[in-house]
Amino acid sequence: MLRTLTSNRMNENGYPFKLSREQLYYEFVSVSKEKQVQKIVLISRTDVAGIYNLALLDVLSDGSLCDISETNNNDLRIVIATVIKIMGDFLTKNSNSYVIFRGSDSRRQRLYSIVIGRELVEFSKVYEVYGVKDGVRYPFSVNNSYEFYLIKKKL
Amino acid sequence: MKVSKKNLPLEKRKGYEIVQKKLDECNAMLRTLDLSFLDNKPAPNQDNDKS
Repeated sequence: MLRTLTSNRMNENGYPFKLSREQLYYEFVSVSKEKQVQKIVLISRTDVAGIYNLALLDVLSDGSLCDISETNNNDLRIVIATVIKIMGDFLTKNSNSYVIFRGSDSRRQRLYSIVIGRELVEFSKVYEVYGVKDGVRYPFSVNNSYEFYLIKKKL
Repeated sequence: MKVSKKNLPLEKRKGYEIVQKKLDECNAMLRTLDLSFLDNKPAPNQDNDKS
């Protein structure tokens, strides 16, 4: 099941997205027959120049933001593909920058690790992929767990 | 005229405090991170670090 959900992310079609001019975030809409859910990929400057924090957020019906909601729209693979494309868009436009992220909970953190692991061969053609643990950055390895993931486009 | 909450800037929306908290956590981690890679120093091999 998970294999189906997480395979071939880089070749997966994603939702159309647009870059906000006012703030550094991208918006897209997760669509199913049952509902539409607005999603935001927020890319924030960190205290370290050249490193940007990435967060995937749901916009709830009252406009509030949530990073732990269960969308349950049966489109996880499309959502992940979209986030990867957005990250690629950002890193192409900011080619010397890093994007750092982690899951909002342990389950999502594990999911991201699985996705990166499955995509590593394809990813590594385009990106430098690292895991951060105990204050050290390591080349991403499928056999290790990390606190954060750090990605940069190869120059 | 009522302004839709969906049109509010992100930082003024409910839930943004969680986003800010996690960004603060990220910044705290970055303060502990060896940032020499920003000067293009290669990353250590984790598998060789397990001795």
